[in-house]
Amino acid sequence: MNDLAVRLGVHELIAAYVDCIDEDRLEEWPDFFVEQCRYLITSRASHEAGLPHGVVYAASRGMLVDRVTALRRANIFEPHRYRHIVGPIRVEGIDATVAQAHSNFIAVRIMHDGEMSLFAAGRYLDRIDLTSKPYRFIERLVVLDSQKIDTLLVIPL
Amino acid sequence: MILQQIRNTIAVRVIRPRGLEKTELEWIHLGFTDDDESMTERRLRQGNLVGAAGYISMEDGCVGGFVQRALRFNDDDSGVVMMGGYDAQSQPFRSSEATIRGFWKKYRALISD
Repeated sequence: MNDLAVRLGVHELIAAYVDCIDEDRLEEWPDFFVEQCRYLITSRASHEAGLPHGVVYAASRGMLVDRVTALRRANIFEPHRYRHIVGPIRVEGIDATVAQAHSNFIAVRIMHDGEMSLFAAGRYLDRIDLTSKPYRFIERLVVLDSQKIDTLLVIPL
Repeated sequence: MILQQIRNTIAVRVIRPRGLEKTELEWIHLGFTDDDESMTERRLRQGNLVGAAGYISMEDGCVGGFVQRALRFNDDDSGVVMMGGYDAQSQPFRSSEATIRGFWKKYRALISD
């Protein structure tokens, strides 16, 4: 497989992912993952200590769908949106079926009253399935630089 | 400090007031070295229910904030949130005080002259 084409596909996946969240098309968010996926939001401290627990965890696409359903229908929170800024994407390993990539991000939170704050900064550590187009995440670890999260984490990062 | 054991999630929650407007809640989730893989997975999944961004517990922090902001507009720094008033009627929802209010109404009727 042409490395450059893979890199472009990985860039497109990561850009489309944050677009989907920031533009509030969350029903499409689980489709960025393969069926047997792993999604985890954790902190740098937990990640470096090798601790498996995070604040949001999904071990299948269905668990991601549950998150969106709860957000839309059950959870109570003040309306807000994110604006993700993703830094340069580094594709580190490419084999026949899987690419590994990492990128830095920040997410600005915009509350319903217009107040903006820097909500999260961290790294995306991705394993990406290359066997179908568009590419999908096999694993997406969201490693937050800080272990503190302002109330509340309901929209995925 | 709160010790939590809900199903297979075992956690310590530490509440740290950081001033009038700010409180931190630290979650420490516990597993054991002799947990097998399926038990660890169970604890991780159930952490989605009762954890920092759990389906059940994620709002706990913001609800206190809602109440504190609302009370600011009360006189004399106090306020009362009425849950249904003085009667004890059945409700189609579960956040009701009807059962406890009904119990004490009956209790009072039985022991008073």
